[in-house]
Amino acid sequence: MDKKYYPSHNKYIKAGNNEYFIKNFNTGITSITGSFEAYLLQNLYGCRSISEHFKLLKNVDQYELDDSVIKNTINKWIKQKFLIPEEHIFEKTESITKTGSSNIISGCITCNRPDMLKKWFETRIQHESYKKRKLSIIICDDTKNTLIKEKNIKTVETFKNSYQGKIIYISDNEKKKLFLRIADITNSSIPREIIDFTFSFSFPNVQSITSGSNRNTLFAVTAGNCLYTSDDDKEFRFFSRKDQKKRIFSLTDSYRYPTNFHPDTKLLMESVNKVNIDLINIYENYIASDAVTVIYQRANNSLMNITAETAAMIEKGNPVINTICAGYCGGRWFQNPYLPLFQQGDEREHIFDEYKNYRLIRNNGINMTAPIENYIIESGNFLMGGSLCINNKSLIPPCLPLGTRDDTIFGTLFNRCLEPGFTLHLPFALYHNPSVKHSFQPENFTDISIDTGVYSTLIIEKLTSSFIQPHGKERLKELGFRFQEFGELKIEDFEEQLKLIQLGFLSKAMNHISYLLDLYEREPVWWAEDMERYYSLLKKEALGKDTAVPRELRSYGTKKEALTVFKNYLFKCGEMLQWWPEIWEAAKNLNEEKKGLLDI
Amino acid sequence: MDHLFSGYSVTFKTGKGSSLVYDLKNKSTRSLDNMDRRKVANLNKKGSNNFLQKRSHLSFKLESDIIYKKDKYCSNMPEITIITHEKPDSLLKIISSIIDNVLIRYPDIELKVIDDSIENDEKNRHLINKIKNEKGYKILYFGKTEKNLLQKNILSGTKKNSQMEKAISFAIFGTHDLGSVPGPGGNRNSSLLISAGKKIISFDDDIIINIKQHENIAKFIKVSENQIPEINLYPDLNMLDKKILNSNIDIINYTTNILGNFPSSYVSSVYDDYNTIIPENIAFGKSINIKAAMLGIYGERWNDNLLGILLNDGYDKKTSYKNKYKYSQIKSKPVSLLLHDETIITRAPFFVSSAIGIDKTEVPPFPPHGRNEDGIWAAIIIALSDESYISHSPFAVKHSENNAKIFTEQDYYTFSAGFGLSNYLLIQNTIKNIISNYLKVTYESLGKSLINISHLSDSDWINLCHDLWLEYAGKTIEKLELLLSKYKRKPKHWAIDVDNYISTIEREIVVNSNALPKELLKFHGIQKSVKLHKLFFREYGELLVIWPEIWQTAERNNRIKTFG
Repeated sequence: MDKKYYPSHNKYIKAGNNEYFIKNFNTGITSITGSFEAYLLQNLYGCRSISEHFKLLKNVDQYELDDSVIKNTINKWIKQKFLIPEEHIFEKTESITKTGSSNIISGCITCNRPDMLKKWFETRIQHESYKKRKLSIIICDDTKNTLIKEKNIKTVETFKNSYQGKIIYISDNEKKKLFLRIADITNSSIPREIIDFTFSFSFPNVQSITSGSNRNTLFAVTAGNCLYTSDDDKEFRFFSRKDQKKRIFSLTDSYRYPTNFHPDTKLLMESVNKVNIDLINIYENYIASDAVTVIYQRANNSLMNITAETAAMIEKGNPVINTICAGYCGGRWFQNPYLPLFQQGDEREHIFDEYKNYRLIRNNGINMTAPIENYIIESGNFLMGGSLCINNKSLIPPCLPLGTRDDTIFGTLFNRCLEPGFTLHLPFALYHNPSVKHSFQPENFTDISIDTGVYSTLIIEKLTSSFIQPHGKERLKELGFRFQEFGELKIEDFEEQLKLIQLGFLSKAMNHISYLLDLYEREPVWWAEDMERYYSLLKKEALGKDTAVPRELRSYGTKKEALTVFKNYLFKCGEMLQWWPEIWEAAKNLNEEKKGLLDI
Repeated sequence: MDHLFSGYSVTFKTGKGSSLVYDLKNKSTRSLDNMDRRKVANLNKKGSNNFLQKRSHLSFKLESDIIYKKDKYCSNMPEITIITHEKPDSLLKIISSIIDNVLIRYPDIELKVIDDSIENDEKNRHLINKIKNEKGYKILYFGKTEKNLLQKNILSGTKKNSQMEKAISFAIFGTHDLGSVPGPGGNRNSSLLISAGKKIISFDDDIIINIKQHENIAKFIKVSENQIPEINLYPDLNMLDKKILNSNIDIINYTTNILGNFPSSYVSSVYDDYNTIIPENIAFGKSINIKAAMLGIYGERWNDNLLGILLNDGYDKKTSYKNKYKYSQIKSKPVSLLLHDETIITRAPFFVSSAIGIDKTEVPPFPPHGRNEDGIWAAIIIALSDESYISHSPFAVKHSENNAKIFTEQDYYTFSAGFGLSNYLLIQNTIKNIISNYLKVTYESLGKSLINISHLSDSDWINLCHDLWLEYAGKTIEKLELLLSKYKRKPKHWAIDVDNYISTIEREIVVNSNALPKELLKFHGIQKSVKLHKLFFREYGELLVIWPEIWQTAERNNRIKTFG
């Protein structure tokens, strides 16, 4: 087999009209090269044989260079270490000690859905994955309604009797115990208000989603272990694509799950296969494993699409798989009814060309999110919290306590702040019960305001974009300082910042709509009309004077009062981010000393 | 359509040819579609009446009369300071020229000599006392003893703590650990504190108040976002002298009057070159706050960077570079003329502090170590407020530096980062990062960001310095190539030097550690140099955070002394 090479990660700095300085991050060497050679170099990607790189360059060669010139150039690059032999990437992984079989604790976050919780249990405790391992189960309940909470407690007690593993129920009372133990082990050095904010904050007088704080509780209770967290509406039943072939592993970055919409459950089920897998076994095998070793053992050619940046990241350390997530099959997981309109690819025609199907999807798209056929290891920040295994043995970031997108925020914080790592995406989807998803109402089609979760994600991306310090807990703390600064802005400056963030977000969506309308030449017409309606709504929101206030807080008193509440929330998030490494460490110490909630 | 000219806005693309424009002044969003864009394109065509009418509402010319009127000056008596270091002979010359040209006309002005000499401090103190007794003017000497007293006085007026004490000491004396990188910044900071609350006109000890100007000075003041005064280089003073005339301008009056706020009502009528970019502030009718005024300079060269010789693009370049012999004189010992034929008010951070005016309102501290302290200072002034401007005067003072090192051929084969340049690049990059987050640059945010980068690991620090240096080197090569093209590689002897220097840059930049300040590398290894460089940023960052309190205390002390 031909020897393979991957490109170095370079920075290109223009030096006059004809030359570039090229800084090679893999070697730390700076060299000078002509503009055309730099242009060719920038077109390299993936770990490939010389002939494959040659083909790549032939395709981008707008000047029709002689073959021998390209070949000589490739040979020169190998000497200059702009192309690095494949084995070099594997040399770096030899010291890995991970041998699989991580102890996994299963956690569930639930709130106000007793029937879902019951289903959650039913599909799991009878499953071999749970039964044979006697997997410990933690239920974190954020329900405030006493009657529903009692129902949940009863459900937990019922299943405790029929399950051989440990089942731990955590609600307000148990959280208090956890807080006292953290205070005890840290000599009360962490302010109690920070602990309360991290694990049980909610806006005063406003209904808000608290899955973030509920997930934080799971993180703390299982600190030092691997955690499999799944939401209460994800049943332990698995599906794969019908057209799935041989599964292989590949490494990439900035991956996004393909999203496929279906008019109803029947048609969805026709497009999938029910599969029987031992999901926990997959988690045990791969969580905290060295990503490159995994794919090296699993498949040839798996580095075909590796980017220079990811390859350089692997060379500098031994990044492990920190998170593993599966897809969803069934009920929709999105709140924005316009989302299916952005569908692209082959599926689009199938879905949009028939008006009846289009209407059904638009009003309540049944949905499946799963890779087509491969296991994909990626270095980006996209993950889905509905069914997620986390390497909680070393420091992970917290979720922000409130709002939607708690999983996206978690992934973004992981990617932007902590040590480089990977997410493994599985080619399986868990059943997402669609029965609790009501059809979209007319108001859903007109309210396109941005909520605190989206704002929080955008603020994190904005504040971390200029970070230059190395990844690690100091970055998390630095982000905390930045959040505090942001929360301390004068109210008019704060509103201006939110407005600018909002405009950035809305304009991106408007831009994409324009692009798609052009791409599909405004066909079919019903789709184009909806897209244009959405565009107008986005524009109206952008031009509105007082639209920077997050959705949940729009009914909260005056604009000033609402913004003040959000400002204070972000300031508190800043404090939490700064204290989180200490909180997590304390929780881990508790577990190691058998004083945590796991050992009640 | 007003928003089209309000440069102070943020634009977001929303599709092919359309965008959303957020107006930061009115805090409102507008939508800009293809039709609007076409209208703008038409308006921008030279000679369009519509465009000119539009511009007339947004005029950007300041009437020059306002800075020549004396009434403004009378209530704002400046203080004059001389910044000196180990040059007693030069000091005597400048004091004499100030007495002859300024004090004789304004005997009540206080002249303060700020001295950081170690060998000549007693000699200078004696000299000042002697002149003071003989002439009877208000001449005060500030050496180490007086600076210690200044530090004590400020401390007594603040919540005294070790952090404050350390910051003041760093501002005035720098830190012992960076003794290998001296600079005039500490002396300049002493001047800022001694005269806090007053307008300051500050001269370096190698200046002589012998004012020159061009023959035809424009009768207006040009406000621009990015213009800087032109520099011309000559082989000798004789050739330079032919280019300029004696001026009878009252330089103290002129400089004092131009400092401070100009309300938008002072901005009237249209400047005829309508290709000039309209400054954002003018477009909004905001006031312009001139925080610092730079006088032109002529004479012996005042910096140690030879790049200016190769990058020279002055109007006299063709004649002064043509002759090979004269060019070789310029290459080794150029005589410079930094002078424009109009007053320029700009936000370009180009600043040479040999002869300057400083406004009475708060300005940042200079970096107390290294050169280029004035460029860094100006960059921070501009970053701190969008109303802050710098002015460049059409009048020049004489720079007399007989000890300037003669450039050798070997110097043209060296390209290394100096402490001042490296700091300038790092600080500008930090400012850029703060702004890219839409955040305001404040003493606190900038200070904390500098402290923050000082916590980088040694290897990350070298990488950061190297990345910025590479960008600087790349831009320098680009500028040199542009000049080669503009002058069609003539004269040849200059073009060959430029080619060689580009090769020098390309050779030197491949070594990462060359991006560290040469002043540190000269005395220390790479590791120690990195540590000292980071130490400087931490201490300067800490000083910036605390500076408003230091300055305000000094200002309060000065006020109580004056009126109490």
